[in-house]
Amino acid sequence: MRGPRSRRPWRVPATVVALAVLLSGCGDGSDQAAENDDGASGVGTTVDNCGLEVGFDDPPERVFAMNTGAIENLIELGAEDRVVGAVGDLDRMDEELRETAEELNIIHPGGEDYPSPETILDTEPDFVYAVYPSAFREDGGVATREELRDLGVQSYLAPGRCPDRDDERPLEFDEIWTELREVGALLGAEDRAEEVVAEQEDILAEVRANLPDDVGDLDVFWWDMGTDDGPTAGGCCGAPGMILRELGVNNAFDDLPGHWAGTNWEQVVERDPDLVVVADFGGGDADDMLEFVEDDPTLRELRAFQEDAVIVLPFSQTTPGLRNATAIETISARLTDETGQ
Amino acid sequence: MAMTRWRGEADRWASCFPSPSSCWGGSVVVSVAIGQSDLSVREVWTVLTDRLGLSWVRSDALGLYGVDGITDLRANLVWEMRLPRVLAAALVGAGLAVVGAVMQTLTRNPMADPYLLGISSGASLGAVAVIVAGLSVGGLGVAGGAFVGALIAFVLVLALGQRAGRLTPTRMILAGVAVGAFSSALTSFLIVWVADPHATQEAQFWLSGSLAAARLPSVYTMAAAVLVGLLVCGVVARPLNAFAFGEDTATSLGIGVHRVRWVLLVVCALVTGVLVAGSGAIGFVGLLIPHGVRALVGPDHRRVLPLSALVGATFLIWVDVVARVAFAPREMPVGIMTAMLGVPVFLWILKRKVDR
Repeated sequence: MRGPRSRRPWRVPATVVALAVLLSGCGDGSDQAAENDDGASGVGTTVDNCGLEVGFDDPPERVFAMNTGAIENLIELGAEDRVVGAVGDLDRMDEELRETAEELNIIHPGGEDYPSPETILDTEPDFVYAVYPSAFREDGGVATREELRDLGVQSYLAPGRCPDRDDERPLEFDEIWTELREVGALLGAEDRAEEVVAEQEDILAEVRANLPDDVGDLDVFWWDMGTDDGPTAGGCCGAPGMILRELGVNNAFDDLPGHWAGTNWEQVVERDPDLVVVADFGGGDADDMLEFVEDDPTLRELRAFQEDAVIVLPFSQTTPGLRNATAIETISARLTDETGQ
Repeated sequence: MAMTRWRGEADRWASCFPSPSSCWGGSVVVSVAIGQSDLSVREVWTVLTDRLGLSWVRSDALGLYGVDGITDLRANLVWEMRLPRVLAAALVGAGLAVVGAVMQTLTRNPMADPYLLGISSGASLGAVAVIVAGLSVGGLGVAGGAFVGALIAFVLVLALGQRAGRLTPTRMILAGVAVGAFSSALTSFLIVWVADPHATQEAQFWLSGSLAAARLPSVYTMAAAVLVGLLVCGVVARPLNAFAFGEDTATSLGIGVHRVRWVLLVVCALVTGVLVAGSGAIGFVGLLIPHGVRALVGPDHRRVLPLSALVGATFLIWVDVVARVAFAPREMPVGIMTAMLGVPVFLWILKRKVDR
């Protein structure tokens, strides 16, 4: 599991109800999802998002971004001027976008925790956009999506992470494109969304065309985190699984459920991967992980570490989102080098 | 009076298990051969005898021929990963069960366990401080942090629990509860405040109690601590019997109650601190295994202490085997499994006790 998790038992819906006072007088505050009168005044887009209808007559002007990935997507869509506040960890953000992100009103930077609902509602958003379901969880999130809607704030959650989505269904790139298109449509930036998706599709097509023939035999261990207590590996159904599938290589831990799951080192030794992908959470984290291997008499004997078949990816490329295509590019370049094609 | 009945009971029980220690020894060897990686018992045997310089054991009349061509990688897997883990399980199980038995007698409280005096909460705080805040204690990492945390908590409890140099059970327990509650609150605060998912997950795993991180160096430390602890407890086994009847009785029997109590508390705290530092706070073992053993062999510490050590060690070895293997390719922290597997067995023993 990734994404913040904290326990705040004292947070009850009552807080949120009380906060309605804060919001009274801003926006029209009512349920505006259901009605969609065409051509009245603007775009009038409605999408079904995780079973909730989200729609605007006019594109939202005050957007709150709940996770690093949401900030990245909003910048990609050229909507950074409309971001009234954001929560995220800029250190883990793609470098090209970081500069733009630094200009934003980042609340509680340097962590993945969520600020209190008051802090967020204080920025008077009309649209809250998150990529992790934890953002809207009753326990530790900001507020549930229903609570926000009752306050007149619409919300959007990455469709690949819907709570009702089947955990055993592998994540697909299409879900990431859908997310971008839908958010683009809601913001009235459809054209830009199409451009971004096309760019990403081009990257993938390029990679597919140039992959060496024999990558199907490669077993790849996706090492997300964890050292002496055992590793957390990329499982069947998250971004790691999706990236490895796209590359046509075998995910050594395809039998693990969900996006990421804990396993143990014996399994890694047993599966003897050809290649290791290391997720770098920043702050010297990947170095620590590799140092741990170097110090371990068993693990350093593994073929992949012996032959230095290790690829380190920055965090933003390892969590579901637009940067996954870049990850694919990085890994495929390495595969091509290795096989000398 | 009652003693004779106990003795008969013990003999009957002992006849079912001629030697609990052989049971334990067998567990070590067999459980090393069980794991998620596919190694045959023969391969494991080969590696163990080679590394111990006992290759001749294999080629003798036993006809236990070794296996050729075991890669360094697999040999290391057995020697550097699996064996330390099994030994750590044995040491932690033995240590916690003995300390638990002693604490129950010293405090005359059946609810007492090794963590009564705030040691596990202090250790958790120390460990989480290292994991979450990246504090490092003398380069010892999480284990170092846990040990220092345990010591600080224990010293606080002693300071609060004594009156003019004398420790009374009630004050000690209250001080332990208070220090424990405070440490737990600080631990939760750190986890919530820092909220790095990376660190949160690691902290969660540690707090559950796990033997996954056991490696040879930490096993040596644990072994030293447990041996010292067992020796000291063995020496005072008889005086401890007197404690069971209360302080006045013990004093009238010429036992230096306060000195014995101080020595035992300090030794038990140090042992528990080392064990918790290596494995997190594994529950159940220190609380219920002594009760289970008493239910089988009666209250005499000369029996209860060594048997608690053996039963605790054997129990934790096998629970860790389940934790390691049952959920492959995943793994469950052993601390989650101890009560799940132990409580039904414990209830069964209790029930048989009452039925007879």
